[in-house]
Amino acid sequence: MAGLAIECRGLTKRYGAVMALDGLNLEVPRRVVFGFLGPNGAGKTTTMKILVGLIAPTAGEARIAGRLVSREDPTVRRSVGYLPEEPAFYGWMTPREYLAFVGGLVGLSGPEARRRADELLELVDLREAARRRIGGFSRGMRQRLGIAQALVGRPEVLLLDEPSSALDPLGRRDVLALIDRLAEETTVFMSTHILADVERVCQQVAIIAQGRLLAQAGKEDLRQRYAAPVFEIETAAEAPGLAERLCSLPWTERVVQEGNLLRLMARDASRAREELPTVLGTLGGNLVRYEQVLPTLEDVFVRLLEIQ
Amino acid sequence: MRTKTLIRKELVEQWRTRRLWVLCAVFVFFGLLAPITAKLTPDLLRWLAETTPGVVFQLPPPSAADVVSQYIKNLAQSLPLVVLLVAMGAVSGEKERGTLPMVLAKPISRGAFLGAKFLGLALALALALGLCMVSAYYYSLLLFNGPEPGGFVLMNLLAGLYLLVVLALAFLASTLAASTVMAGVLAFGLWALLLILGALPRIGRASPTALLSWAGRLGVGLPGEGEWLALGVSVAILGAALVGAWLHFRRQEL
Ligand SMILES: Nc1ncnc2c1ncn2[C@@H]1O[C@H](COP(=O)(O)OP(=O)(O)OP(=O)(O)O)[C@@H](O)[C@H]1O
Ligand SMILES: [Mg+2]
Repeated sequence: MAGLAIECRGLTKRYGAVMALDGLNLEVPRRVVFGFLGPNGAGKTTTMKILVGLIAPTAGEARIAGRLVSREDPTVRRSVGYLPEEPAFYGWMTPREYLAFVGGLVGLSGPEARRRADELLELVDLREAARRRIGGFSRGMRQRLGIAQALVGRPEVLLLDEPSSALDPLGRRDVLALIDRLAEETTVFMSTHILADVERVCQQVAIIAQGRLLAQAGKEDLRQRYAAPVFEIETAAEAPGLAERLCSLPWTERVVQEGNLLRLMARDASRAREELPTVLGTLGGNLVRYEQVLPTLEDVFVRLLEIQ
Repeated sequence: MRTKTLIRKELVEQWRTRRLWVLCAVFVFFGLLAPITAKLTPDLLRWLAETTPGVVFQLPPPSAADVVSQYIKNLAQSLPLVVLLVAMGAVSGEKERGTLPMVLAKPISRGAFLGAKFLGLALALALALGLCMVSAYYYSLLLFNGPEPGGFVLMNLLAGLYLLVVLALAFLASTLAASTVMAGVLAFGLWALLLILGALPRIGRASPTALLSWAGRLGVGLPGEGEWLALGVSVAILGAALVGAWLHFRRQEL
């Protein structure tokens, strides 16, 4: 019990006829970067809002660091830092003022709060903008300030709702590097639908859809357990009819074509290895390469959602 | 510490967004307007009479009592509108701008957040009304012999309570409504209801608007009973509006 950073039991949230969460069970251990995946409308944001007490669940309960979450009890929120999907600040403040304000809210004294603000401005690389009004900040700057404000109280658990979407590639790289570093001290629970980000920073992953947990495991486990073996086939020129032919084979689950590259997901890896050369032999000189590759998280994700 | 931080933020916000200045400027303007109107109205009428043949005006010279009645008229009619405009966006504005989730995810209670917000507004109102009172008083001293200071202060305290009731109603509206426009409509409706009830024959005596006629009497030193019932009702409405705002905000989904 004490070992868990986050625990959800039968968490349910109903909006009229919409079941945003439908009995979600989730266990997030401490000191990991945990990827919370799901398609649009799966219930990721709803889960996070319940965890910080912004909304109340219709049924079920959630715990953070072993303590029951409730809107009425602010003390639980001492252990949580939260970055909303679209962080909004007081535009008339400077980032330094906002962080010092948050410092006061988490219980720091004035001088402590200002010192912490400077530390965090340094961490998220906003030192230069420390005295500018937040009102004029770019989306990326807001996102970084949003992460900084979640860190002010040195929370045990960090909830980041899509921390890297809406950032350019460089901004994303910086944010992911930051998350990597944070993982040394806190548990990071981040929602996203950018699978490449999960591949980069997360050790554990949960996939939800329609408010229910589809799978939860270590990243590697998940691939082995849920993804079909994948073969990549590259041709020099487009091979008409090849995809259809591969699809009709009994050991093929699915074929995805992207130009000259085909990805074949096999139901039976050993039969595929045996028989694929014969099929591909008919291509003659058009075949550039074929190989068995590691399934990606995307393969897992797509497959799980399809099975569902 | 946390509550102090919240109150500080409200006050600094009012200062930086110029809301405090505008509030004070408008209040002082209406404060000064009272003695000026009292002074100029007879002159204006006399000039009218002179340019219109056959009309003769018999007017007593303006006095401090005219200042007081003009002053209380401004307090009753114009300044509540200003209070509504300033207070209607207090909570709904933060809802619209999306600034609430990050703040309320911190280890603070929603009650403390709401309380600090109302306190910030009430302090701003007190400052504005104080400046209004002082400027009106000194200008009247210059133009007339001035109203009697004790009664004038009491009058302002009573009118201040009336404005505080209006402030609390606007604050309630701001908490209930999802947008500032809706909050404004609702707040105006609540104030109009107050005026309508105040104009009714029997109920009127118990309405907060009765505080204003009491305030007017005190200002000019007329004898008469205090409107203690209206005072009690005003305090009750004030409390009910704040408790109502809290009960709603406590469970609001953000
Ligand atoms: N305030 C609300 N009123 C009504 N329905 C809502 C409300 N908030 C969320 N929902 C519904 O609940 C479901 C889950 O929404 P949620 O925002 O949690 O999804 P999400 O996984 O965060 O999606 P996204 O990836 O698009 O951010 C959706 O169907 C959404 O329409
Ligand atoms: Mg979301």
